[in-house]
Amino acid sequence: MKTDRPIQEFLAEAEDILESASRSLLTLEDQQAAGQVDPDLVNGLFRSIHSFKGLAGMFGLKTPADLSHKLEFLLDEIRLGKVGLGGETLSALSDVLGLLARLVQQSGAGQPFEDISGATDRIDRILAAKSLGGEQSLLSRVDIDLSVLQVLTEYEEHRLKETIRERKNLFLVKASFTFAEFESGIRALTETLKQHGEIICTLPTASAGGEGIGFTIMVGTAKGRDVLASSINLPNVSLELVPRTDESCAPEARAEVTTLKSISNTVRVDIHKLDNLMSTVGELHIIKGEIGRIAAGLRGLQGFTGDAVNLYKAHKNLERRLNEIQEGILDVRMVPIGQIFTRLAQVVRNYAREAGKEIDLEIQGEETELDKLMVEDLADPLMHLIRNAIDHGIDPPEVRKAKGKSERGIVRLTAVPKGNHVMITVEDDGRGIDLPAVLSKAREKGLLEGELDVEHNRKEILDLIFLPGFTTSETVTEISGRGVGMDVVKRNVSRLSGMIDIETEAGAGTLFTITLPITLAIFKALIIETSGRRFAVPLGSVLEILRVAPDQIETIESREVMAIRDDTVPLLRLTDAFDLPKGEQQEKLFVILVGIAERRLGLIVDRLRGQQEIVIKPLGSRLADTPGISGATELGDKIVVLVLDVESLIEGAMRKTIAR
Amino acid sequence: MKNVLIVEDSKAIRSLIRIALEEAGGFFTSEANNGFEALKTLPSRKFDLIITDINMPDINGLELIGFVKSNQSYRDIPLIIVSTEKSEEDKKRGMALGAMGYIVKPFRKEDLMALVNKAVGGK
Repeated sequence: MKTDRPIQEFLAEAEDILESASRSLLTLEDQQAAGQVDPDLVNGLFRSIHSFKGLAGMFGLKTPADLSHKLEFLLDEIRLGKVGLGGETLSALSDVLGLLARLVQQSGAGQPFEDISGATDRIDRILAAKSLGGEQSLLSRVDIDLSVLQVLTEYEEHRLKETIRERKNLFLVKASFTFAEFESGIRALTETLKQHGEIICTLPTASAGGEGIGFTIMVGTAKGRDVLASSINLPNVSLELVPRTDESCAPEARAEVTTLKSISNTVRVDIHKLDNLMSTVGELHIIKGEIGRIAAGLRGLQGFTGDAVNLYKAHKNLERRLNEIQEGILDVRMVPIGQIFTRLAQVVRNYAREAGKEIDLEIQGEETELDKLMVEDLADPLMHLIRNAIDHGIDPPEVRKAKGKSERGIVRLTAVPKGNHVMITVEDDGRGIDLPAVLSKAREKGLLEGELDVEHNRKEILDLIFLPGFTTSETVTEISGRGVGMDVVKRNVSRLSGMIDIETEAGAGTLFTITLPITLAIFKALIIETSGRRFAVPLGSVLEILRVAPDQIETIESREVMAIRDDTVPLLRLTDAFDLPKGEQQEKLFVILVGIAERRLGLIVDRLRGQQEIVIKPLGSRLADTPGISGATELGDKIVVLVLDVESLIEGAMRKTIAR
Repeated sequence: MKNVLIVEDSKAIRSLIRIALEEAGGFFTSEANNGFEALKTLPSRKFDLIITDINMPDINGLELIGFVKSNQSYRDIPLIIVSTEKSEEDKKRGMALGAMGYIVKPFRKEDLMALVNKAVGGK
């Protein structure tokens, strides 16, 4: 049954399934290491691969179907407790998942499938070594209605037996709901029960009254009736302990198993819901500002007495509470960057093996927190930097040995919080970037017009590798020859309002530093005005505001610069950057000194308009790629202003021009 | 028109089944992505056939079959299990619960339609 129409659906669905399976596997590895494996996770993994197999089969993709069939079989044996989760099993699972992902790519690209016999043989060896288990008589040790037993799947029956074997309590939780709200009701109940134990099955039943719908949930838990009953104290829910037939005294009073408690009180929230909340907070800030203005007006009218004082106090109170809400929401968005570091560790392992190199990955600062959305968007650029380091940076073991280095190369991934920013570095101890080679390659590709020399223009030369169309690799390798260049890395980092820097030393290694704001959801901005137009500048990148006389500005090589302490800082007039009419002649100008990482730029503006919390909104698609602008925000009074993209302004100034 | 409810958590496979039924003609299909959706969809019209997967999160196919067969209003709706050969045991259980037949993924359109036509009284 082959049809072309849903093939895109197949690819998307297959990739989704494999990605979620890989995530489950990583969690499983952690759990295995900690000695506490969640059976639900193993079952989820089994179900993913089961779905994948069905999918591949339906689309006539024999090779992926065969391999997933084998993998499914292995996972089935694991979830039924017939095969243990040892190191070799986990490593085989990881490799086979990787192979499946490649097969999907190959089918998408219309390429022939690679050979899978190595992988299937490996699974066969694991299956051959399995231990035997399974007891039929276990079910007779509890008194459960046949109508319940006969709808259990084989897996559910296995979990039931495990629960009986572990001498846990078995409860039947019966709940009834109206038809309109059963889904949310049953999901909430399930979540609560999962905090106490394992849900073995959920059976829908016709409700006694005819209207609505009933459910019987079978729960295995080490906890007693009281604990369960108090957490599900609802009129429509009843609780029934399944009696054991093999002992007179029910195990209900047994001590609680502490490990079960760690199945935490968390809720999963779609981050876009938090975005909406944050938008509302931004609007509240605007309202707060208006109240502040009214308070000030009232004070002007009647002096600081009576309601003027009350309004002032209320305004301050509102401000404090609002900041608390804002911090609360931000805190929820923050996740440790370690989430992606773990995923990257897997990548390093696989790529190093493919490349025939020996690599140790060192990770530091994985607890550093960053906005969830940004963490996800960082995964690709970091992966590319690491692939580059393994592929181009680190030499094969024998070459390293000849150079007097240890045979194992080091890739170091670190994250360090720096105030409102986070600094992430990817460092290797490889051969470093060959500057003369970069230079000649750029010339050859026509990417370079002026003269640069290796002595004085290190930074400019290194920046060349971020240009679209640049690559120094002589052979396109399996590893980094996948069509993503450093220009994409840079673009991804820029999209997060971040900056990327390189340092390198021939023979000693290369260091990439990515500097990012910790969140893009809401931030304080400086509102400035130039030529009658207002702009918002993220306060996180404002270092200093200077009042300067026009004669303090010098011109060097037709660029305006000024001396600030020991530094010479390039200047940019916003009127020039955005083609605005020249502002009025003023005795003194404002220079906003902005900086990200080590780079500085002075923005020349007419006047300052105060500070404000802003929630940035994307521009429409027609304006989305305007250099120097990252979005728009509303200031209250329905005034919409553009938010400056400091990173691209600095970048543009470094290149001497801003593309319009 | 025969009303058919397709319960399957893979959108792509749901599409394949729907297309097969549409091409054959004479069927109006409703789709459910999981057991809960199936429970919600069941009262929406008078179904002539339910095609269900076994392995689904929350409520699996067997539990759905058990529900349908124990419910006065639905017990006469024929059920077809769509599953994989791995679920041999589960398939047997589904048949024991009263499913009229099963088909194993990957299946041919013709085999599916033969079973469907048998279930709804042929044409």
